[in-house]
Amino acid sequence: MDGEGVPGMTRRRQFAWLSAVVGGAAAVACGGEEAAKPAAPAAKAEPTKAPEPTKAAVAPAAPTAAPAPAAAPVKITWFAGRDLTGFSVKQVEEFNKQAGGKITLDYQEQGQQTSDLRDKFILVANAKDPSADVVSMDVPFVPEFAAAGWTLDAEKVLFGDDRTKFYKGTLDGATYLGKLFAVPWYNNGPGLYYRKDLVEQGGFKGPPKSYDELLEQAKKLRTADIQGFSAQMSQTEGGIITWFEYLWGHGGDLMDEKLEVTLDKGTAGVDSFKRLLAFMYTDKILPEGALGYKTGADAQNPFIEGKSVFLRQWTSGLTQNDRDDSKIKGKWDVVPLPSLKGDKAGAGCLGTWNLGTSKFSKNPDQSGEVIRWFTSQAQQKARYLAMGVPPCRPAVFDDAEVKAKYAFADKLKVTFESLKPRPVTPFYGQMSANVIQPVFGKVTTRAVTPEEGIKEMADGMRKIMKG
Amino acid sequence: MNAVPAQHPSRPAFRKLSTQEFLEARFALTLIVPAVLAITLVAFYPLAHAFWLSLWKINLRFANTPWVFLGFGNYLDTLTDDPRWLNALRVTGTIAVSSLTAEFILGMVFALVMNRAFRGRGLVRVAVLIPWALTTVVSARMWQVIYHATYGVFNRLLFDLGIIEAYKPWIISPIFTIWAMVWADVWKTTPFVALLLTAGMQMIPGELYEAAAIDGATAWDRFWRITFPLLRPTLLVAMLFRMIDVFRMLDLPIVLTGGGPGQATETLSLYTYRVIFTDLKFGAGSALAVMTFLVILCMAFVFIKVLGAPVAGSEAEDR
Repeated sequence: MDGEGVPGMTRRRQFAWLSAVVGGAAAVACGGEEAAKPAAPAAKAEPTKAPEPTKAAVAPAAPTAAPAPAAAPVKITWFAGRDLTGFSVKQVEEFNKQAGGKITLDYQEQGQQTSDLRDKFILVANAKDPSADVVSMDVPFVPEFAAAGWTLDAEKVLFGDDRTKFYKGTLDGATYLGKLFAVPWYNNGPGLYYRKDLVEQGGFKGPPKSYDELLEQAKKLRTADIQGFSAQMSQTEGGIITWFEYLWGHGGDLMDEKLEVTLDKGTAGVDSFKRLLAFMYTDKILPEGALGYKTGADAQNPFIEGKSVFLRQWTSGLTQNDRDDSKIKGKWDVVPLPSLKGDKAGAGCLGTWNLGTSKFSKNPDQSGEVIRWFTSQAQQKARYLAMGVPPCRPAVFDDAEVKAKYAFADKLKVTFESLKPRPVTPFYGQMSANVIQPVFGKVTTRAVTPEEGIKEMADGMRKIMKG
Repeated sequence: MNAVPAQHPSRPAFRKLSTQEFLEARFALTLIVPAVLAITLVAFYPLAHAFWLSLWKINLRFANTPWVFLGFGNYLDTLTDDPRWLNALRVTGTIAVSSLTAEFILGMVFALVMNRAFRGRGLVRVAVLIPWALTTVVSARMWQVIYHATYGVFNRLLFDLGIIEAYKPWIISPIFTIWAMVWADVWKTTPFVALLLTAGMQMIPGELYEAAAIDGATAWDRFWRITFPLLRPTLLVAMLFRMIDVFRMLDLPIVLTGGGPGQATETLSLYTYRVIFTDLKFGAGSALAVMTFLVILCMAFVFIKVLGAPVAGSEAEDR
């Protein structure tokens, strides 16, 4: 009897053990529970605990409240995107020198793609983690983070007369519900980069002004070794922006001013997709490899290596064309994007980057100081001169040094006047990540037709807007 | 679990325990309490909490949004109106079936090789184990480079062999991507399977093979009638572990493909992770996590109760 009983027990024990293992495994797999627990109830309580007025009242008193005697420098951590030029690091060194031991700025890049930065900040902010003080923000982040209560308003960082010194459009992009939530740091917009020498040799009068001209020239100038056109086409924010510009160029848009989804009204959505698909699969001016260009730099590399005639790229990439290992020094130029009929500059996407302060920063005043320094006239000029990223302060363009260095600055002004923002809604980030990017991926790899894609996208966007 | 000593089947449960037995039972209880506590804390508590969260609508994307009690609403929504979940289930299932099949065929071959005595066996074992020793993120990055559309060695190989006419973006294709990922997974985890199977083979007594050889059994007979049946328990445990692994698969897709193109390689875990950590929908995400858990639990049940996988000191091993 005893002998039989033992295995029975073992079995029971086995099963208990196994369910524990499986349970543990599932907990690890799905991971959310532990992290979710402390954050969730706290989030509910948060707004009552830290009402806005208290914060504002505390702010002026902060310097005296800080331990005065021989204070160690306050460490400010900056969550930033990727800077391939390395200039940001130099600028941070300069800041740390000037801050004279009062502030130490720790510059931390959060990954290659814009979405890496967004994902990281969401994780940190949602955990109410004070390890991020200053955060770089793409235009759509501003309303998204502000609505979630993750960023402090910047009303006290940039105010009064100082505001008149910025382009109004860039300030509008940093405003949510009437309040400024970030300070515009640098401006960015697209340009059509092209090979002067090849276009001339091909007997063309100048760079293409319309989509058809772009196709015609690229088709004629490409060789077995040189691709006609290059553009970021991967399933990323940068990839969908490439498409947005063609969508706008065909007279369509994602949403109207009242934030109603209008993507599936009219044929612009389908037409723009068909054009890009034709570039890639029928006319083959854009290689299928472009589907793997995850960053602007990926798209620009073939151009710098002399293996692409045309390139759609942000103006922040301009100085890269002249870097040491470039094969196209002196052989390139840049013009506004082409348009449908070639009668005007094509619509480009507004890509301003802003600096804001995390709500969970322990040193919001010092963070504000950092932001003021980096967005100052002198620093925006330094950045423009070193990296070619245009400033958000128009006065920088009038600077003699700037005028001497950038002959094409005037030409790009046209582009910058017509830049278009992505939908200004806190829902945009979710729409982009959950609907627009995946469907864009399906359409560009021909898993679905443009018609099916546009329908899926519009339906998905409407569902997200409902909350 | 605590009740086990009292319910010993060989004695009536209601009989009064002798002092000696009582002390023994108390001692046994003391010994298992820490383990039970640890399991409760790391397994049952998070599970129960996830279940609790799954009953609410929680969206932390907007400050001051109250929680709304939904009951099983999140589950119903997922089951009735969530093509993305169905897709993730299909993707995970496809990977599970194909990846496991390939791993076990290859793993068995490797195990048979590693189990033989020959010069340089140690070297072969080390070589086979290297992929498994690599961090998944590292191997995923490596495969990303191998499959790269413009300078990947995979393209070069196929091109030089004349199989393709132009380089293709293998991990950005609605058809190939999932197979590219399955292959990366097979490459990485076959050594684990091979290792377990080798261990199982080494427990089979050599006399059986000698006897079979004397009786004139062919190599195939020896494999099919001795190795395979005696390896069955090990095989089942290894399969169970791998199955659970596939349902937890997050690191490989997140690094290699990001779940794309579209959602062609979005696994259950990746979908759950995104709903919780980027959409911050803790309720809906927890419901997904609980459902994944239930799927795994059912499979484990089938493996253990129906197929008789011996987990933790089984009768099969005892005998």
